[in-house]
Amino acid sequence: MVVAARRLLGAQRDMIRNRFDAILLTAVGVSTTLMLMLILVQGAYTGAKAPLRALTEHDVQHAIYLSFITSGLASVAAILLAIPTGLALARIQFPGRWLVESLLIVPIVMSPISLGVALLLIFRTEAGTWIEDHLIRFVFEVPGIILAEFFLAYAISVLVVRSTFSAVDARLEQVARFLGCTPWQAFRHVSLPLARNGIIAAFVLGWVRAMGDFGASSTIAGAVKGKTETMPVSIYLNLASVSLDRAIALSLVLTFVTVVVVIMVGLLMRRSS
Amino acid sequence: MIQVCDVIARYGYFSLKKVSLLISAGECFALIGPSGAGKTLLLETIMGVKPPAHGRILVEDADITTAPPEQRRFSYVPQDLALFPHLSVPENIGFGLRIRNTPSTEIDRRIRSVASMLRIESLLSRRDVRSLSGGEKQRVALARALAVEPRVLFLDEPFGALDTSTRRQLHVEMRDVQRRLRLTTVLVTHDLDEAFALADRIGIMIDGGIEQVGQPRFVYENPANLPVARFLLVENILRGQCVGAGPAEGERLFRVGDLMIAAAHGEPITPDRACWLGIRAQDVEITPEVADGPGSCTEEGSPAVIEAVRRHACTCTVLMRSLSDQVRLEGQLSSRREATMRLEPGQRVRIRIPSRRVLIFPGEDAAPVAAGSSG
Repeated sequence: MVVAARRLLGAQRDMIRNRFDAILLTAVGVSTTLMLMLILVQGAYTGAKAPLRALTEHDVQHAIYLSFITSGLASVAAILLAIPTGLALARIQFPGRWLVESLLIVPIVMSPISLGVALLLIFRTEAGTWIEDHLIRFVFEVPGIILAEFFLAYAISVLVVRSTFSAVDARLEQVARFLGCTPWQAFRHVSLPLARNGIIAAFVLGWVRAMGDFGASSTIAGAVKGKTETMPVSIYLNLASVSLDRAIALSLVLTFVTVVVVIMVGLLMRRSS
Repeated sequence: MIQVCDVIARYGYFSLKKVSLLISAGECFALIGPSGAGKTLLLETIMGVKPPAHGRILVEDADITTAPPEQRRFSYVPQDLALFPHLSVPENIGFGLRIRNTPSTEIDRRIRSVASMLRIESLLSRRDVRSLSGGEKQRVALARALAVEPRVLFLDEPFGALDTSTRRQLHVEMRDVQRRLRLTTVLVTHDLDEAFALADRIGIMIDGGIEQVGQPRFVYENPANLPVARFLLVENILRGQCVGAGPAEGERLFRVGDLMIAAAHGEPITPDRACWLGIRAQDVEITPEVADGPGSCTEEGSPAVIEAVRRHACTCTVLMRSLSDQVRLEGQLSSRREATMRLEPGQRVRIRIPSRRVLIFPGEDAAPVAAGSSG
């Protein structure tokens, strides 16, 4: 008994080497509890039945559909631009690179409403008005949602893609060039496969960021029921009209997607490292 | 044959000093020098990684100065070997062949051929190159470079991360492969032993310029100037003054502090002229017998006092000073010989330096070294 107790104490000592470690682990415990509370409280409030019933309603389904379509298109466009930009930032030295890097990720830290206002003002300029009149309408239309979500998705995608390519040894591409690769082939056969997991992570993080946006997209496209009603907009409108079941159903969908994506990204990053 | 004509290349504030070089077909040329001398910059300029600011590079009389790397038919093994971590061993070796759309049967044949030459057939079933040992990775990287049958192979300190025994074994194998294929090879290293083991000729690079080119033994015995001598680990660099003819014909006698040192080769030196003298530690003969009074390092030997004895695996370094404490010298003995002599700090010994082993660098305006103290 005494031996077993000593062993247990010894194992505990090995795990928590000192008081400082214990304080750090307490911080981890508190923050994990807070995050779990955020996730679980939504389901616990109404139970499962009411939100599941709400999911069968046409308005709710339309909001989910619109969110997936707009965020999907925005994040695909974002990753297509983020890959060459991130590669350039990781590989090419040019004056003011640090400033460009900082500018590109401004939408991450910028207030989404400010981003929406900035986009609105673009379409008040002469060029913006011409685009609206002759090409495609963004203000108070679905393309406006895609545009706002694109900026948000792009900022996070380029940040992840850039750090992914920075982690791929440039010398591998150099060696590939001597083995007969053109710059494109060296990228295609060496850097791209090695950066694959990071690029997937960049895409899904951008996608989730785009799907969860309310401020920027509702500022440029408005919160028009049945027209520009994405999931976050629908949550807002349903809360305003005290339709709690619908709001919680949509909020659970958003949370579920986010949690799945975060776990998926974590797994991808573990595999990459 | 590679011709490097008046090449200047820049990296940040560092610049090559109009380098010209001729590397013959089939030879192994080692570019050696201290860290920061510009060896890798010159290598990358020749390979086409960095464009030269001035000058031309020719291979087999064709100007390739502006040709992209993939058109040069060079192969490159960098210091970190840069094996592709997402590919298996055979995929790594055959990578260059697949890119060139070589038929798969030919790819298989060549992979087996280079694997057999480098004795790594057993590694062809390995999927994860990260699990290979240092020596195995080295051989796979070499196999990948050789599989594409390059006209020049560039090696940038590829053996640096290996243990001594594996490194020596690979030196022998690399030399054997290079000679068998008669493959023009350019090796960059700061390891003298590596350069001497592999190279037909060496070029010594210091501060962005090539100071001396020649066969390893010749360069070792006849360093062109003081910086080269310092790089080639001439342990004793002493400031001396010529006092006239030496005891034997053709010899000159130099006063170094309270020592008199005779030197037998080098250009004629006029009396009173100050020169730098270079003496390798292994050329300082140490005998334990002591006889008081000054003497010449060339005849019966000069007395000296041992300051420290550093024992290594096979050799022993002995740090000594002259009786008047004006000159410090480093000597080297085999461990076996030192064991019979049992040298200890404070012990008096007699030192003798054969005149033919003394290197003379007249007119060198090198960094000042306290007169009579070792460099």
